[in-house]
Amino acid sequence: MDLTEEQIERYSRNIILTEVGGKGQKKLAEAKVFLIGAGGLGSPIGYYLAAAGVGKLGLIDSDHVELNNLQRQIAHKSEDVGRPKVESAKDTFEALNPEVEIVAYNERLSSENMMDLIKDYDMVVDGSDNFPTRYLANDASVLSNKPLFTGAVLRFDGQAMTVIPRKTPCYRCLFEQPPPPGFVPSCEQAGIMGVLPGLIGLVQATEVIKYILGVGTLLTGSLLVVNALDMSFRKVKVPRNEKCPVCGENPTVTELIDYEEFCGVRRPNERRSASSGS
Amino acid sequence: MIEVYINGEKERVREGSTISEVLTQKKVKPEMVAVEINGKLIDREDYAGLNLKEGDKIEYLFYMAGGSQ
Repeated sequence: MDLTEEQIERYSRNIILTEVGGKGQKKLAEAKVFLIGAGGLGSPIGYYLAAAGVGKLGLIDSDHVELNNLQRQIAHKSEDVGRPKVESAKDTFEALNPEVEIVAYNERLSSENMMDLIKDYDMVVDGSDNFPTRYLANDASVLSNKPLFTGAVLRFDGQAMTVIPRKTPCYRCLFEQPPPPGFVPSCEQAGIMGVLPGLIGLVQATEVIKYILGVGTLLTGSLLVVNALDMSFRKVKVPRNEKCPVCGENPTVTELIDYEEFCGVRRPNERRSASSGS
Repeated sequence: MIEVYINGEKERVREGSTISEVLTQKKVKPEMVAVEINGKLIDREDYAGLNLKEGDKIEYLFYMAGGSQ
């Protein structure tokens, strides 16, 4: 389908780029992206993917907007405090670009719903804020052969990597064992400079766009390590891990597991809570 | 003393230092990081046993999840 005059106008700055053109803009319009998290990372990721004209954007988050979010979660406004994050973010992204089909899932992602949710999407972007979800996102991406764009932040530091399942290292190739609970502080405990998720989220969104367009060199087999205090951006080579339980030579993870148990967040045999917060 | 690279920076360490010793010196618990030497991932159980050599490039990469736990 040809671009309308309004689309040509809206996306003119994209289309002028030789790497994009009308063809590239159409590829963006056909892309279906599943974004985990409508918070610190999800805000800039969703915002810029909507701006770019991605066709369909799925947003999942079970949290509600809190005042302490607004230091960095720019998809939300002061008047949104108390609202489900996915609804607030959907409103924000739609106001920027009504062309994007935004599907808001106001629920908690788990092994039970993950595969069903992502079947309508081509790729997964991890903007989550906890280890169980990160491992879930990784495993589901590899098992369903959908690229994963992962990113994380803490204090003044950030990381980002792109995974093309079974071709390039996955998250577990590098971070094989989740840290025992209490060893890695959360942003709530250690703090996070508000701009960091902006920096890293934009890196993730850029990777998504490059992947859709088929241009540039992706952060595959390469972990981008950022420190905002000295403004250092380093790429650390990450090898495929032949012992990786998901994408290695003898995978032991062939279906989604209980990630909260895996990360020691809940002990085995303890009843799973129906909590929606993270 | 030998010269190695730790997270991209040149540093001098005692000859025969192990990863465990480097991490202790940096006040980093082994469970908080993944470690590579010369582009190769190192199993955590080998942190105390492997001796660093002149010119080794060590990367210790923090586990990060974000948000709230």
